[in-house]
Amino acid sequence: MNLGLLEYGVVIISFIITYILTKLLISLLIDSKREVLDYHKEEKKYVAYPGGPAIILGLISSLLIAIIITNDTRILAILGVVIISSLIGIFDDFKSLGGRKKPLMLLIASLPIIILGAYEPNLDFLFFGAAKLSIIYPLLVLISIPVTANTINTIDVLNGVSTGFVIITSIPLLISLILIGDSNMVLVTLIFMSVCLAFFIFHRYPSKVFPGDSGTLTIGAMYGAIAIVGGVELIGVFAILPAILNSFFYLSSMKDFVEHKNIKVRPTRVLSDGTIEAESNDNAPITLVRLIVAGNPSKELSIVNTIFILSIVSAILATVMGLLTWAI
Amino acid sequence: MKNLIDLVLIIITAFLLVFVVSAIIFTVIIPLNNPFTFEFGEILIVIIKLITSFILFLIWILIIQKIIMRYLEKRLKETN
Repeated sequence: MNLGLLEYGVVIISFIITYILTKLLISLLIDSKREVLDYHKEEKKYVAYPGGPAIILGLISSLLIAIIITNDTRILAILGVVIISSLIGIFDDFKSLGGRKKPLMLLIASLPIIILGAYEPNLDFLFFGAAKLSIIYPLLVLISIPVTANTINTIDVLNGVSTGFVIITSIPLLISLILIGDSNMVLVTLIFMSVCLAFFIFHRYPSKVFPGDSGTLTIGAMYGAIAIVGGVELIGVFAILPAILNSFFYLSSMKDFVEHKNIKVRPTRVLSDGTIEAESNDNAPITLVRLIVAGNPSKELSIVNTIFILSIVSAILATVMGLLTWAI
Repeated sequence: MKNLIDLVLIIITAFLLVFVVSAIIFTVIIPLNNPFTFEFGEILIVIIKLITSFILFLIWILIIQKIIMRYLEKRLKETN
């Protein structure tokens, strides 16, 4: 597997485009007073929102160049996923879709992969062997994109978490794709990581911009698309396990798809000095952040770092699993 | 960072549980012959397989929920 200078050039261009677009978008959003309160800060601080369009344009332009270079229809399928999920995200940013409509609408984002047949219906389980799932696999594809998109959307509660999280958890995908020798998917993963990295510079603590639903749904959907199209879906699932568990805890405690802004009892409280502590009310949803601060009130940066450490742990576990599956 | 080790253990436990349960479901139970043959025996096997998968999934949910609730109750008691 070899990437040429041209491919590395596309990766660098995707970083530069996203960096410049994010910088411009922040000024534009501040000028047009499109800012939201950063809830977890000691002082009242407003942050530019939504920064998702910079991520979307960075991804679409780079993927278009990648399609021209490689002639790979699988990248076309990923581009389709990105476009549909970003349209849903932009709509949600400006006119809230509600907790139930969003995952349902995201089912449409899976269609480019199914229609273009950009998947192999096989799952390789370490020690258990391979499973050919020609009947059930398209159904799994259909639900996978809404799951990954909503998972990344749900974990985006603190400064820099969503973009930092996907950068870390994309590393196992990248390693597995390098081992498989799929250079086109390696290129797509590198583009994805470099776009997220360029945005992370502005999104990290203390944030200058929030990605909004347009940003988080798009990167979540694209993460799922890379995992499916690249045939590394199990590695992808295990790498984002902390985020999947976060969504699972949230859903099982709320027993419904409820938007964060519509929660009656919030999972955490922000004290006057900016420390975040867990809500002891039984009706509060269970989230990863609530578990982190339970019995351990912490500042935002410390919680963000804990989430990153947990994602590094799951990324290592996923990488080990990928390496063993490849070696055996 | 006080809860880090506990949370890492929860992630590792969840990882192992997801791995074993999904591997059993996808490699042993789910592979279907052809659910559209409309033969009674085949349809019955498909139904049994789906129910078994669902039960395994429920067991996974119950175990994870139990672990999380125990952890949360213990930690919240420490605060109060």
